[in-house]
Amino acid sequence: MSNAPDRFEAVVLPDGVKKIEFVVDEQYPTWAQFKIEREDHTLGNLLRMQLLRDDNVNFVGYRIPHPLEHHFILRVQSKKLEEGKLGPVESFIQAIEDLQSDFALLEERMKKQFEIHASMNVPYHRR
Amino acid sequence: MPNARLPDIKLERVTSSEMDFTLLNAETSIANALRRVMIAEVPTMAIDLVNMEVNTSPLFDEFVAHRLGLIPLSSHEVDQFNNTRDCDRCTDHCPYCSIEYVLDVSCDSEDFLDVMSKDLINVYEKERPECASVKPVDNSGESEAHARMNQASKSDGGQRPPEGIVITKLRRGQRIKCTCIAKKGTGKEHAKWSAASTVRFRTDPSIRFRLDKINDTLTKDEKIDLEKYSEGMLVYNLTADALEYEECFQERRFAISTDTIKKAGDLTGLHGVHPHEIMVYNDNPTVFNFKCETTGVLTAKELFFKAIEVLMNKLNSIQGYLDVELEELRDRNNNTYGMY
Repeated sequence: MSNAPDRFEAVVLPDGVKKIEFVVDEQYPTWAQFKIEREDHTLGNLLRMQLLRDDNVNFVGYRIPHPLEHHFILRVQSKKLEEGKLGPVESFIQAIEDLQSDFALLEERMKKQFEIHASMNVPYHRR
Repeated sequence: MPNARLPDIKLERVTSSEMDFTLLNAETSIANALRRVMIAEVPTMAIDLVNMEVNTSPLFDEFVAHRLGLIPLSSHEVDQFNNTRDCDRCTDHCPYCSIEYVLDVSCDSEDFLDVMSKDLINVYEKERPECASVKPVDNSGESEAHARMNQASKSDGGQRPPEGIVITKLRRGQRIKCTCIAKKGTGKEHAKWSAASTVRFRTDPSIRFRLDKINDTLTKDEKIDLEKYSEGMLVYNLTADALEYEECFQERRFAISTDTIKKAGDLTGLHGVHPHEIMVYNDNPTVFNFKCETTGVLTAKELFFKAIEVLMNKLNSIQGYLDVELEELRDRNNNTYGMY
């Protein structure tokens, strides 16, 4: 057990490490690579699937390079950059906003469901 | 929100510790993110540090410490606590980031003595009202089974179910004395902080038959033959001369077996129908049946809403950090990449 990494390493962002780092290749401005620290498949797959819904995205993939390193790398390629078209970073920002609206909606709808359930006089919440 | 999915949700059944709900119009990624967060990323309280002073019990120190860690502590007020590692009120631990318990039990009687989770005495009880609320879950939730047991024991005067969790047993002259510090954490760090005992989801069957096509193609004998091979999935309706799905399958209690698919393919193949024509494959499910069950440290309702909150916080933090990163990039490139 002496060389086992500390358990909190999967959760705590170390000092001086950026949460998100991204690289845009100057030669290929349609490509962007995001390295997101201390996150896993939960967010990786969520972002990948959301970006795949974007019409302006050609390719998305994410990988976790090593199980003991707690980050994932997301690679996005958008379609040809034209005037007024969105680049990969804009697509990424859009994906996050879409996910935020989805989960906010879920929360709201679940609250409503609980109200309906409570009005049906079913005892559900006993501490 | 051009690419939002606009998912819907339907609550089927809920008790304090269990909940069934259906996610509609969603995708596997949403369902799985929700499941993963509910299991591993909702913070709770659990004993993390044990200072053993006296231990003459039959279990060795590490064994007892492990058992103490796994005791569920009700965490309804977990949001009122800081993480011990970034608490700004103390250098070690304090009532704002931890709970201290003392366990001191010795056995004087001739009989065995059970050391129970309710023997843990909360030292911080009077310091903050939130601290008093963090106590061992003694009857694991108000589960229906437990309520039935209580009811039964009251009516026939039988033995009440034991309250709490046995930590160890003591014989005459044995003693256990230790201080325990409970901290806030998530299931990602250690499973003892996981509030969920079960969170699972199930989709609609990914493979379905086109029964109308099968009914048109097969003869009566073949239909009866296929019914036998379907392991109870299909029923032959004599009056309508048609195969129908059995109730269990309709309720998604099981899926189509490979044998049934093969048999159906063989039989329709005799009539020159390609297997593709009698089957529908749904590789992008949108309906998810969830079942979740907590250990009793949070109610199922709390678990769900806290999971959503954790997910939102994740997305918000990514958004925030990205803004900073973009700002830096813009400065560095002197606005060359105005695009980004």
